[in-house]
Amino acid sequence: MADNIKITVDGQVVETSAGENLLQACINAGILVPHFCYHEALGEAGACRLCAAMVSASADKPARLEMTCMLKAADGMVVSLNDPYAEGFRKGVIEDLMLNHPHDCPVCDEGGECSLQDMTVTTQHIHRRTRFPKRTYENQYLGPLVHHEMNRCITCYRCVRYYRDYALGDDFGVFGSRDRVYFGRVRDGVLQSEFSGNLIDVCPTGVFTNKIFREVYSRPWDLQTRRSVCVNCSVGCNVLPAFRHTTFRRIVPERNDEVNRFFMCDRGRYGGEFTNVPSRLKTARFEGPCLPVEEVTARTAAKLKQIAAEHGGGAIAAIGSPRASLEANAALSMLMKSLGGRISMFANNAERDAVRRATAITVSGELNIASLPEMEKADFVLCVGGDVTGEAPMMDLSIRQAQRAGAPVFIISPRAGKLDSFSTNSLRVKPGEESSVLDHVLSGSVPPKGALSGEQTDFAEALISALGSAKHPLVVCSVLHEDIGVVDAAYWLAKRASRLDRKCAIAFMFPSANSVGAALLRDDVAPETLHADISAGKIKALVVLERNLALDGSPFSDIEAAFSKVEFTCAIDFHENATTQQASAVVPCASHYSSFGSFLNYEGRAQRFDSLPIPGEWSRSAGEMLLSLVEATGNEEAIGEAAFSDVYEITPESNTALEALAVGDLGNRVRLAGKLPVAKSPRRNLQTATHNGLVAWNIELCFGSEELSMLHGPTRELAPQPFVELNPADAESRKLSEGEVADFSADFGLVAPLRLNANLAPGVIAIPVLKTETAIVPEEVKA
Amino acid sequence: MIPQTLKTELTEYVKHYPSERVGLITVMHKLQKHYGGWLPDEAIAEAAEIVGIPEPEVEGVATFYNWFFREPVGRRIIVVCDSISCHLCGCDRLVEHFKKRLGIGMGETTADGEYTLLPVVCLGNCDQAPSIMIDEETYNRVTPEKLDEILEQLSAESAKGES
Repeated sequence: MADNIKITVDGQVVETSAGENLLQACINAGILVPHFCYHEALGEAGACRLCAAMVSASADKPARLEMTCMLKAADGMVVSLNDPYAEGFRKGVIEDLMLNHPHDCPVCDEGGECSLQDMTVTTQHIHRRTRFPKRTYENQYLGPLVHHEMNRCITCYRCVRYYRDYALGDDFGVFGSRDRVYFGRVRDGVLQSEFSGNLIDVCPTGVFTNKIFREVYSRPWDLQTRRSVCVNCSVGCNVLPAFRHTTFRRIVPERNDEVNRFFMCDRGRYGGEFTNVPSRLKTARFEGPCLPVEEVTARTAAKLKQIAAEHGGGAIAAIGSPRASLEANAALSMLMKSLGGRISMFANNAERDAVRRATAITVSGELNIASLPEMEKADFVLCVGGDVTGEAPMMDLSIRQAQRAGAPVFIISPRAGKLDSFSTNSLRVKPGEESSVLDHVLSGSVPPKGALSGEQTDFAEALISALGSAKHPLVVCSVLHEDIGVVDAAYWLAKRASRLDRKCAIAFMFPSANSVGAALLRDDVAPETLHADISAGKIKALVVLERNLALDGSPFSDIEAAFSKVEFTCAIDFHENATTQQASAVVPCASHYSSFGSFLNYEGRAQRFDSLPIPGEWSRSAGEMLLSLVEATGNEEAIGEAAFSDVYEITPESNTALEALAVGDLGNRVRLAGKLPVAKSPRRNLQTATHNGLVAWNIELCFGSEELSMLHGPTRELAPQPFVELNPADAESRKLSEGEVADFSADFGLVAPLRLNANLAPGVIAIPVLKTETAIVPEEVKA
Repeated sequence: MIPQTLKTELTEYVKHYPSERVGLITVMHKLQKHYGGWLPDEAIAEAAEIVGIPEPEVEGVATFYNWFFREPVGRRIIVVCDSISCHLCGCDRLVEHFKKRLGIGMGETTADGEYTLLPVVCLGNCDQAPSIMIDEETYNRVTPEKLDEILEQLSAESAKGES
């Protein structure tokens, strides 16, 4: 802090910086100033009048009543919160706010974590002096996530400031005036923002509450919580999952100043319902019958050893998971190592290449990797090749903050997403063509005639000019579309845009919560190599960890066919799915929010998550289950004192940092050891295959495309029904019209209602990724 | 639905401002006039489209101000000030008289759709209380007798207008 100043608050000397919000300066010093409308992310409004204190410019000047949130700290300021006049004023404010507030604390869902309740008790406002009927409102239906209870409102305006000003939502507002102010939508309907759940947290009382939690309600003091990391995308927001009586109840965001800070997206907040999925596996099976887990582990170990002895280690393979923890994948890798087997982490070679290249760039330390708070400070944003809202929702919210502060936002992708409505310049290209436009930006020269269209040249030139004047430029690139060419183009752009006086930050959106960890695993085998070996009957035993192969677009997606060629298959997962159903042995493990371990998020930031000890042999973390499997093979000495850096391509320093990492830390970014072996296969893009003049493009949806959030809970309701999209011109030339059921079964394997989208590149057929597999109820639950 | 001509006129009109949203209130007044004195839901959507702002903002403005109506009202709007001075000088008597004479209470509209009666907080004529306003005309030191005169005069005007 450049200008350190001193202020006095209730006799205590507080150091702060000049111009800091006075209320925030007090909070930073650990002094509680009552407040409702002020929020660190949203700033001040001066609406609630609760943060009143006697303030004077210096000790010898007279003090007067001021709203501390509306003042800037200045040297020598004297603040008196416990002045009787200020205290009386605040008590009066509370009494006013309580005039119309219902007396429903005993049955209110906010009770126990309600600011208004706390403040009312603190100011000792106990008796109501008024006798008129309270003002009442009708509540609105706001969708399956957020419950509305308008009578409780104290008009602090936080909700509308958050929803409209901060998150840039346009379907929520404030209506009326004076004592009939109403916060809600113009008419009943589902809130359209992917960040609507934060209304629950910003509301200082119970106007907005968690609709799902209401149904399985528990008083907050009865909830058991452990700090965890969200599993629904690669951002790695810190969360506080809450349990009661071993059942999952809700998730709230937990503050990490280098990651998500105050907020989280609805996919993360409500996507944790998979913890309560009815298809939860609670028994182990071995070739049919349900058996105790120890028994199945012992038999599986024996079987693996037997196969290794008969056919050699080469006949054993494992499929790890980018959504499993570093520890679980490491244990699986060690199991394979002890048996002489191989491990494969990815769905297909294109994904593997793209994710490993992006990971290498991320953890090599060469470029600045933007954290979410750094993204908010960017003064130029370029999004390449994907839809940020669907692929890494919280990055979208951060980019919106950069846009609000004036950063130009450039987007180049085949299909417009929600972020495009805030973009300065948006270009639609065919999949894979992003790199050719960016190559032009890189070369800085006029492209040969006909290489780029006029529109593309204009975009490139606008981009060059905006990038030139930026001091904190940011490139966000998608890896979900498995296009290594796009990853490279983004990398080179960020590298060239970094100059002596500035660094261009970059951030990749990865497919899964621990994709970076998966990509760093040593000795990873290309999935297509493994698949070829399976097809050729060379693999006799296969262990699958926390992966539903039916949903991830891998060559194994026909599980029955793949598994039929393998003598013995073992699946470890927390719920019954198409993969566990086909496996000869099934070992249950804890679901994410009841396991412990570590993830590497999109920045390569290692974050540790904790779990509650839940009784039951089916509730041990996958990593633990695997270690007991290693033990059962009698090879534990082969593992010895294995370190993370033995299993993952990280430096010894990163290993030390990783070992020292505690739950609740800000997290450490790991560094790449040496050079990540990137497959030398030529650049290729699976999606450039053209059928009848159309190229397929996957729409990654916030609700629908992420596997775990689609297992159970309200997020399933928000996923759309299958559809396909075409540019109106393409539809016209094919004589197809909006809403018509279009048959693309020959080329793209689907028949679905057609939507016309003018914001889709011509020549592209957009298909949503819908992982809405119906949950499978295990046999023993049925009986 | 508003006619295309009105839509074009309003769309052109808001372009005169450096920021189009500045023209919102005028657009809403013109729409209210078009729809017979009130703003139905479609008018809110139309204003949002013309000015280029989200619907909730228009709804916010429409419900904030006293002279925008979101439900049908009478051809004439009577507002009776019930602020301190007018209250002390007997505005309640006027309200009672309206009830007797027109058969409507606060917030109600006469069956023939002629009058809507509404309260207002201060018309700025405290020195001449009690004060009422009918459409754009203010009447001061109003008594029940004076009210009768005013209403008769107005119905005479209406009759003249119709004939």
